[in-house]
Amino acid sequence: MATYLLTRLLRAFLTIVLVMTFAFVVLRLSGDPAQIMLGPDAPQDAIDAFRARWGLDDPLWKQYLAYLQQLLNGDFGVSMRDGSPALALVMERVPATLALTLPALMLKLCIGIPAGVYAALHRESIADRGVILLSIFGFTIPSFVLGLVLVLIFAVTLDWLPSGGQDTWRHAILPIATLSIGGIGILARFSRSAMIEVLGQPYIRTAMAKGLPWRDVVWKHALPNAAVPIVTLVGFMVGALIAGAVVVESIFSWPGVGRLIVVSVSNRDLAVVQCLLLVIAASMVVANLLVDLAYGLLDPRLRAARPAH
Amino acid sequence: MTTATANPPLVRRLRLKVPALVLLAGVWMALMVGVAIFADQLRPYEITRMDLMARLAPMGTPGHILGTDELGRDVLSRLLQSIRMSLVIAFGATILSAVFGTTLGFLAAQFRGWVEHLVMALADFQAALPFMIMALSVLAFFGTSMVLLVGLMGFYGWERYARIARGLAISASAQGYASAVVQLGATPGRVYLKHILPNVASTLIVSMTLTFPEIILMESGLSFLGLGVQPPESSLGNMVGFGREYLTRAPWIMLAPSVVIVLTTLSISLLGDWLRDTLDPTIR
Amino acid sequence: MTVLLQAEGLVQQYATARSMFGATSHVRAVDGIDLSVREGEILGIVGESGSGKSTLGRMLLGLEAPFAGQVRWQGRPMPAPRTKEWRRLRAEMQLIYQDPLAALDRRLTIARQIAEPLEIHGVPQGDIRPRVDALMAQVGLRPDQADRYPHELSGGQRQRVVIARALATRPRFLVCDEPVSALDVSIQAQVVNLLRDLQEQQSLTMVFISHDLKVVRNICDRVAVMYLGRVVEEAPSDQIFSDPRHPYTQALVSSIPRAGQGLGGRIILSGEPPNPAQRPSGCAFHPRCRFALPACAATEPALARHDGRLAACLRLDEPLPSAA
Repeated sequence: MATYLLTRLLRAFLTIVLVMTFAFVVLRLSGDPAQIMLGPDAPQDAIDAFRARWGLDDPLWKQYLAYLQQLLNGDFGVSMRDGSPALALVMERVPATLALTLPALMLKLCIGIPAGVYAALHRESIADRGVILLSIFGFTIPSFVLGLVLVLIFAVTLDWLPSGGQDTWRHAILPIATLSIGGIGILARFSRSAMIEVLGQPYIRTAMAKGLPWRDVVWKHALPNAAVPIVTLVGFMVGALIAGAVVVESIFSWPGVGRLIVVSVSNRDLAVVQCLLLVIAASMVVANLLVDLAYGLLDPRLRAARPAH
Repeated sequence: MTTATANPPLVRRLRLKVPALVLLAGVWMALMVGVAIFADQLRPYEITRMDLMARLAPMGTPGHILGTDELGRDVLSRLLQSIRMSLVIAFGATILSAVFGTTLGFLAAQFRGWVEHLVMALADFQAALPFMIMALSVLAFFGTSMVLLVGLMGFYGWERYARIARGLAISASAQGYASAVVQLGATPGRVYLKHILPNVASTLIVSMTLTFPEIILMESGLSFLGLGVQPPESSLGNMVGFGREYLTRAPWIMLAPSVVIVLTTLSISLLGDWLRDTLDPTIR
Repeated sequence: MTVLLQAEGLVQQYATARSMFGATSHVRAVDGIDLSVREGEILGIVGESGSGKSTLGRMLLGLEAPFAGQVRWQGRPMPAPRTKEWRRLRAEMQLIYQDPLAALDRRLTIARQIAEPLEIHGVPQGDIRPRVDALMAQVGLRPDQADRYPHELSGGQRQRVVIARALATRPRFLVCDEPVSALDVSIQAQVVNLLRDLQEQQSLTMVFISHDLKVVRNICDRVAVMYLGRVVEEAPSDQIFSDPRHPYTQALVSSIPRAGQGLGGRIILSGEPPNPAQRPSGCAFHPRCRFALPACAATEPALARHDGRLAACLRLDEPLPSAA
């Protein structure tokens, strides 16, 4: 387990370094960083000061190291628009995004997994078909179409819910629904097939043959084994959730990180974009680390330390 | 090892029960490809032609079957042009990413060692970062252009091909037929192009049918946000994006492209599933 | 007879468990083998699975570079695998596989597969088809089978395809790695006879690897017996089978069923089958040997000339009861 954790940590660290490198490479490829970071109208002395501070006249590897050091010190540059620190600007938006993504994730887990397990235990039932249908929607309907359709129905036609903004909890309902519906379908379908596969295994048949009550077979034998692949998928879902937040926040004018990234990209506010890139990558890595941890706890093969050779 | 590949003529294989739904999906895709090829001949108006007398005309208006948008441009004409744009981008990007990923995967399998570690580390990185975020930051740094957009989309999903190609190539070398050909004195180029590639092609094609709809969704998502295809060009995504402004007054502007997106991704997914079941011997 | 191929001090080892923080452990599949193959002979290599005989065969062909030692082909060192020179040399030496279905590309017709080495080694396009036809006739395949795919043929026919492909460039040296052990018993004799006929017609030099002593006795001029990566006895074929000296060879030979005799006289090997990861000290065979002394666990016996053969056993010079 210690080895397992260490390798995961090492890989997480490596990914962060790769993202930083990616940001550095893109930054350098796109032209003079001084011009880009300070904007086209920056006065010459500001540019010179910037060049000196970031060591832009040093050899490339030295710049790279200096760049990494800046980032590790929490210095992500300043926003082109109002000169405030990029990191503060991003952090300010994080709670709003979490207010959408966390409930959406909970909904996905709390509805998707039980629905999938139920469908697996009641195959060919109406619920089973419903799960399959919903998952097809999840795969094929883009979130921006779904969001707009929901607005059309619930805000425009029925006038039950607001179509945008962030004033009350009612404003969050449509964005959360948009963010979670597709994912619920996908997770339900995946849980269904994981469960069906586990139920077909010989050890389940053995458990049934020795007369264990069906409830115990499901709860003690099938579910723990089906959980392993499901947890892996949840890891991927975090990435989808962040990408989804970008679109959903734009549709519903929700002032979160996703909206910030779209606005910053349109305005080419590069310090903010770069900061967002790193913050999102870091949260992805942390999420994946948590998933790996859960995975390690669920899978006894990883829990035990491997015998040394 | 029961696949009688290449042997029975394709027609006979097709006559083997094709489910009706898959057939419908095939017809829809054929229609879309037809539209993409003949968009110029099919569309009733120039996509930029404005008919200021008939702005926001609803569906079913004579001369504008799908209505017009806020500038009085014919929605049907714009839709046909957008289908072409989105399909061309998706096809181009799918092929790019398949070629790029497969090549890297084969290189990893051939050289092993640090090349393999590097390719796999890059694949991990790609899988860890949401593609949309990466795409957005690249677009922010370089500005939006058509070439950049296709190039960027061409990175979508490369890591899957790389992993698949590497795994299959390694197992082919261990299995025998590839190492047997090496042993005959064949150059690596010959081994990979004449033996391993044809043998893994069906699996790769199946993954292409999986990435294709995702690329359509990704491109339309970016275009919807106004960061993908730029006006005056038009794609399905940016049609929906502009239609959003008139959601209350003219929902048909966004309705038609949305339906096309959903039906197209659904069709390819269905075709892909069917193709996987019939063609691919590795997934049983 | 001139020596075509010579192996000196061949060692091959593989890394087994590789963890990120632990040290890599190694297994020696082949552990110091000297061997020469003379022009026109068939040399048999026998041993249990795990004795390193396939690894030895691959090293003799230069398919993998030895960890230590070297292989000399016609007096010159074997070029490194996958170099240009190495590829050119493939026309002169070939491998016959245990599992012909795995060795064939299931998406190409057999005619195209037999033609492949000819294309690789630059035979003019016009000469390829007649040569393929001739090869197919030579190995006993019907002309109408040219356009078949591997899975449409029987196991014996597939092995004939592999043999035809191996012979396409008129090689001088052939390594047959368990060429018949995946085939039905009724087919085995046909394929062995085919190999024998081809060897005589084309004065091929062959290394024949097998765990099946009956087959080896039928075809080989000389036999080397391997145990845990080393040769324990090497002698002309009739000598090995009529008068084996190493206790391990004796046990192997005694296990060949003979018509008219019961199962009496068989030497049953006791103990664990050999595992290269846990090589016993001294003579590797001592835990299973009937005649082992305490000294056998301490001293490694060298392969030495003894009564017209080579053998590696501490007790060779003592009068031991001859086997069976």
